[in-house]
Amino acid sequence: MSDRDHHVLLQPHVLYVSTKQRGNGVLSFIRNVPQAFSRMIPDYVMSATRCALFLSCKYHSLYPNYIHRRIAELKTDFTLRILLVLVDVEDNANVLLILNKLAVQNNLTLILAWTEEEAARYLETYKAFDGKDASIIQKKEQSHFADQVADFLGTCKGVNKTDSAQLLSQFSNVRALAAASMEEMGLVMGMGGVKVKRLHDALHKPFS
Amino acid sequence: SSYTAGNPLIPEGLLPCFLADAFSELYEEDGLMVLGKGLGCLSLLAAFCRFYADIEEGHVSIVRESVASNTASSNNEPSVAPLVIVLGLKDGERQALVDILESWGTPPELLPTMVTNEAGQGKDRAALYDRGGIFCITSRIFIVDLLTNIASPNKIDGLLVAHGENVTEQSTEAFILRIFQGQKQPFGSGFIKAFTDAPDQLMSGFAKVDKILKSLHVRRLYLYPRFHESIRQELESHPPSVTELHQELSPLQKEMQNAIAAAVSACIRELKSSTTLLEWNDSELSIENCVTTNFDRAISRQLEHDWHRLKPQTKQLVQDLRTLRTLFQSLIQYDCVTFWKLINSIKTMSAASRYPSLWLLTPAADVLFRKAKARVYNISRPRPTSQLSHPVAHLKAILEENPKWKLLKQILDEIRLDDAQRVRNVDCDGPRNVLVMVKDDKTVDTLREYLTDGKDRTLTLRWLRFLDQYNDRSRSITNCKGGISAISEESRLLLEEESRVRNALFGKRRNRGHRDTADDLDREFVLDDALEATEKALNDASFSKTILARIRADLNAEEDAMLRISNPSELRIILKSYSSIDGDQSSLFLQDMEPQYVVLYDTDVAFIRSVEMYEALSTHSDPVRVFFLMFEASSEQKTFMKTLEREQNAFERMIDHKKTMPPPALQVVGTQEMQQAMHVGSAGGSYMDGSLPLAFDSRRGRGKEDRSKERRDIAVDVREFRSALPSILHQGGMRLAPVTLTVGDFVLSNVHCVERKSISDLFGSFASGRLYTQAEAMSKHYKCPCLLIEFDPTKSFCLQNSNELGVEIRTESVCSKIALLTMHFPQLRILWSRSPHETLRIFRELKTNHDEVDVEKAIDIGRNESPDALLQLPAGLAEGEDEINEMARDMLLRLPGVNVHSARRIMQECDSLAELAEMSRDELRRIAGPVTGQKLFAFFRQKI
Repeated sequence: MSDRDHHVLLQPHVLYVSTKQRGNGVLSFIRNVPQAFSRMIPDYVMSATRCALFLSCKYHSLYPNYIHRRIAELKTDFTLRILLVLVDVEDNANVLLILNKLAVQNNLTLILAWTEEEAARYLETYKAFDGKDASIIQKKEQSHFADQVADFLGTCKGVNKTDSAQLLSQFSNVRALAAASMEEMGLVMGMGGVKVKRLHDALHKPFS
Repeated sequence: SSYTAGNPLIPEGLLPCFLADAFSELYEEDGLMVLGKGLGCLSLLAAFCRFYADIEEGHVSIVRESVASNTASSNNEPSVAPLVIVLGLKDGERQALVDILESWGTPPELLPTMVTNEAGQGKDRAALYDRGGIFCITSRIFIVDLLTNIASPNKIDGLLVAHGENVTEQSTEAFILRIFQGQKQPFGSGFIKAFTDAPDQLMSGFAKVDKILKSLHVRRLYLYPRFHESIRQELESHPPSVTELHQELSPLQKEMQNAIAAAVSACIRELKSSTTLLEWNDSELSIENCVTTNFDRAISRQLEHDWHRLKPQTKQLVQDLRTLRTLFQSLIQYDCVTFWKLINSIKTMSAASRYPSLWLLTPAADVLFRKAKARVYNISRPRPTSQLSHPVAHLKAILEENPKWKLLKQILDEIRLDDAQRVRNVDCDGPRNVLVMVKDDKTVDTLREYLTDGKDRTLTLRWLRFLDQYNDRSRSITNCKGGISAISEESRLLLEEESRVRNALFGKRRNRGHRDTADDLDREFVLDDALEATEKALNDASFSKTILARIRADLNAEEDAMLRISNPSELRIILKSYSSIDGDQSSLFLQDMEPQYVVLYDTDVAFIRSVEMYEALSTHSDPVRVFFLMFEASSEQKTFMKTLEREQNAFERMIDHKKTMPPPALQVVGTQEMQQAMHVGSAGGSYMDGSLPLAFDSRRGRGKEDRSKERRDIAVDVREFRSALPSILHQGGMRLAPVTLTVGDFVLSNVHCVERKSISDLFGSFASGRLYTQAEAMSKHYKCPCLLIEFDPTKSFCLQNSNELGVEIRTESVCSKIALLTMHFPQLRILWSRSPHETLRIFRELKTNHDEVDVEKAIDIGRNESPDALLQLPAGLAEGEDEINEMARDMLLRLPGVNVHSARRIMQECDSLAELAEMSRDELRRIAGPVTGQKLFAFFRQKI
């Protein structure tokens, strides 16, 4: 059985780690999902369609051809192909430029981590979130009234959560706030002239 | 005078001589003119506008003469007014500029044309520019006009740049100036004259003034500080008579000021222990320093590099410091009731917040709240006696008046006496005015009430307004729990106080006795009465409205935001706020009013100088009498001195700097890349130059040679011109097509579409769900959708703190969100850039070997599909204009239940959010659908 065939025979719930990754400091930080070593092409396999290659900037500066070889081996397998890069050198501008380009050209998704722990967290997250829907990053309707108001008023630049709560407590409801004059809004703590004008304009000027 | 020599078009006696000198200097050679605050910066700019606008006597005539003397040939050209662009003016200043020009008798056809959001379409602007004249334009519109060749640098004679202090390397103004200087033929033949009256901002960073001069493309720096010899002579030859009056804070105010200072130190101690990033010297924490310096800003500046990595608790502390500093101000500016209300709402807020403000738990906060309450009311309880084991407590309204109010009244009385004497001695007729200058319109309102209605009524009205709002809760508790016993004694007393105050103010409807008996029944009787009175009319919204309506009516009767008391034959008292004055309007205002007395209730350096200038130019024998009212040992006194000191300091440093400063080396054509770009014929980056399609030169298909040629075209969404990236891309030789994009911010080729996010944008758009929608749209329309995460080069290059990571996977962490985003959009590429300059390199790499972007197609993609389209211009309108209320549309989409479709319908039926909020349930159901309509109705009316 070739390394490539391995990909389809994996168990769910386990983060598979290539034997080539033995000794990588990242592994010691993977604690939230079970991991198992396996002989395979990518460095990590999170699911049947998701895999990751790992690269440290330091290593890349020493062996610039390494990652090209790895990408070539990977061919076009997997739908989501992460290039997980540990940013461990200070002077990283050129390396990152090359990696950005490389990732775009080879359909890889570049993820930067600044510590081994952070890199490990990404791997864990990809594993643990397998099958999860996108609701936490989608527009959601706030169920709590105060949050709805904060959401609504917060869209006006410069108006933060505190401001929106202050406004609400001053005017008691949104309708009264929308009817308020600039002078009245100015009475609210934290609402300076610029912010007041901006909010008043947003509420009172016509949509178009 | 020498002034008329400088500019013959301004009637003599309207501007001081030193401005004439400034005019001649700046006219001779381009440069940055730095004037002290209030010394007429905008008037000088106006003088240039006047001069260039007039083709008979102004600039053109001078140029024509010099041309005639240099060359023998006669000048047959028809005289066209020069095209001069004024950049950098703020909203109110544009009007102020027109006001000044009008006061000089400028004919209407020579006044500047305003091109702001309301202006016409792109094509119309091209015609306008062709006619020549002076144009005041917002930079965001003008940069688009330059890039699309609606405005050609060759047709522009010069630029006047207001607020020169803002022209940093990455500003849009710098971008404009670079294109102007680079493309103007012959090189550098247009003039650039820049103005500023904020010297302290020029010296606030390393070599900042040199960088600004370079960005402005000027070599000369002209300095006109207040201590300049000629200015001193001119202004001090005929000085106003000044009386300074120092008012002590009331004992309670003093204690509160100390308490706030103590809270500040507590916050800073806490901050220092919570982060190692802060270097703060404890000696800087004397009360005096707390009061005077913007310590919170200094602290924010130290932390801003790592702002996105700070713990929320730490951020809260910084926020608290900001709040506390404004409390110093509020303490002396507000009346006691407003202040009490203010700190109470801070407390309520903090209790509801996830990270409460720690300072509220300190003993200092306790002192602050006790003293603040003591200024408003106290509750006394007689000792229990043998007859009465539970004596009734009494609430007594104290309502301490702001000590400055009383002082103002005294001064005004004194002025009346003095005036009466003057009238008797000198036979003078005509209006005699007392000008009282205050900080803002709110203070105007308060003082107006105070001077007309007296202390008691002013404060009692506020007191009632406070009680009315405060008692809402008590009322609802007693209503539903059915008893007076459900609320605390203090709440009960406040509830009773409300009806007492209401009756005292608006007359008693019924006589009621027994107030002092401890009988519950009686109390309930009183309470019912109070409830009835409240229901009758005065809920808080309409109540405050009646008051404001009254003020408004007065204001409309006279000039804006101004108020006159007493009859016209007597001394008139005029209240005016600094916030209602823009730029140099104060000098116009003074000339208009011709006040005999000026009372500076609040201080403002610029206005004081205006008074000096007014006095120096005036022909009256009697000097204006000026009264300074200042709180002793308070924030305002210190702040005033500090402002003067800072300005003087900045000027002194600049004078030194000017001596040693190497003349800035001005590059006519920016970078090597740009030269190369110009060489290959993309004219330094203006797309539509000669109306060629954008990608013309690279698509002629002359075989392999062309394919390796560098690609330069990028379609940029106009809204991105707020950031520094377009300027940097252009500098790097890219040709930018400023257009309105529905999908993406930058389109690099027919496959590459980029959504740019700064770090704070990234966090924000994850939270709002916007990024998901954007990624979805990009993935749908482009083969290679990219999310560009652009870091700020001045901040740390790192997404999150290691201690933020925690030991477990948390759904709210940025890691989780990025992971989730990439899992749902496996085609989405993430570009990581350390700075806009890195972004340029990345873009350049990505563009190699790809076809140039088809701009027309990029514009079309995704129209009418995404919610973003709703926020943008309707098709057919010129780019770069904000004719729509983008913010309002954005907010509309955030309302519960509203989606793109219902938003469209709502916008058809209703003009503004304010109108929407007023709609009835039925109307809302009709225009938004039954479910959303109901949601909206509830949202607008729900009380917290």
